[in-house]
Amino acid sequence: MFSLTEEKADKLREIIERIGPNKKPYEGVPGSITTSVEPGEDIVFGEFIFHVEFDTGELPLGAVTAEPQDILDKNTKKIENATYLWVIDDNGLHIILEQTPNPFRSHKLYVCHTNITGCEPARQGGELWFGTDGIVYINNKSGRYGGRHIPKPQRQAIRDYFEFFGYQVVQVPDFPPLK
Amino acid sequence: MVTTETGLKREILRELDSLSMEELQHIKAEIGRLKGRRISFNVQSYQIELTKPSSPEIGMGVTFSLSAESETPADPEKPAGPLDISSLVKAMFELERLKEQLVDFGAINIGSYIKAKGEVWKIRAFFGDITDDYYPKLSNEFVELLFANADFCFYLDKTERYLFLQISNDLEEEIGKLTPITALDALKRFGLDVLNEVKEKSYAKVGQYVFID
Repeated sequence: MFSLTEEKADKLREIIERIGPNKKPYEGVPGSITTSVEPGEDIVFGEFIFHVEFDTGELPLGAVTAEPQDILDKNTKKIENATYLWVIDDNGLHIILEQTPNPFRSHKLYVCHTNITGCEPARQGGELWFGTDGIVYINNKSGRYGGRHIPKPQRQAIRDYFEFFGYQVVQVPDFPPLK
Repeated sequence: MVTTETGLKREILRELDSLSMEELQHIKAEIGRLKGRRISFNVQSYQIELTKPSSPEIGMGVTFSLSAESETPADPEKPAGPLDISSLVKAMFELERLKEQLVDFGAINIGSYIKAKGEVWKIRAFFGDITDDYYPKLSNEFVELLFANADFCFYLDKTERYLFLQISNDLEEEIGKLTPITALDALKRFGLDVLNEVKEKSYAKVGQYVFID
């Protein structure tokens, strides 16, 4: 068990406020695109999920790391085995290795974000890499929770949230800079 | 490969395969109208053969023999002429039955978007309520019809390298103006796998970098 000081609890509440409300998977997708998930995508992979403790900056046991340059270059071949999925919900920050096999999913081999939440609402989600330099690299690539279109302040709030958990965090640039 | 023995029967099959969904619906309505009435057929029997070398477990060749009882046998001297609706109804029944059998074997490809029953989820991910049993109906024409009537669109960046499902001012500020592209255009240009990646990950890279001196 742990407890937060009043000051830290206020700070956490403020960050969570900026991250935005909980949303159901795919909530907000345009038009009448279905928000239901496929069989096997709603099963919580409990023992494979790493629930991050506040202020620890802890890595999962046996965490797979990647070279920072490969992460920033999006060198898929080199980093796909080291890709994690992250989700922020009311219970905190949760991480799972994306290549955790999901035999219950009929059309894909591995887990997805709703295998962390069991299809319960969450605030945001994305991908993550633990760099060999000790830095945590994140993006917002989750169609189920959030997505790349979320506003900058929200993305900043997510980085603040990760830092609150003790991580040094870098946002992976998704696109080349505009000229 | 599906072949028929006679030109007439081949024509019927070709005709059926070329029908639009609306026409098939019309024929189904005709089935109801004709129910209980005596129907005459031009078709006595036809045989369909298929081979599926990639599935040795079901053999190199499988033959289905189908027949339709004829009350007015076709006159070999008489030209085939236009097909009447009753022939189509009967043939359609049998074709549908045959297709289901073939689909169970995985022996035929209905379309290039959905190549197997196990890929129906790619459509369901957008339109919901489409079970795997729809597979025999998911021709390219049908899939494109679904996307043509979709109430959502995708967005491309100006260099046409990234495809999005949702946009925001902040995103446009970062990547530049995004251009809407209809769901059907997106389907035709990028295919179902890419569109599903866009839904799964919120965006997908669809083009390569182009360096201009």
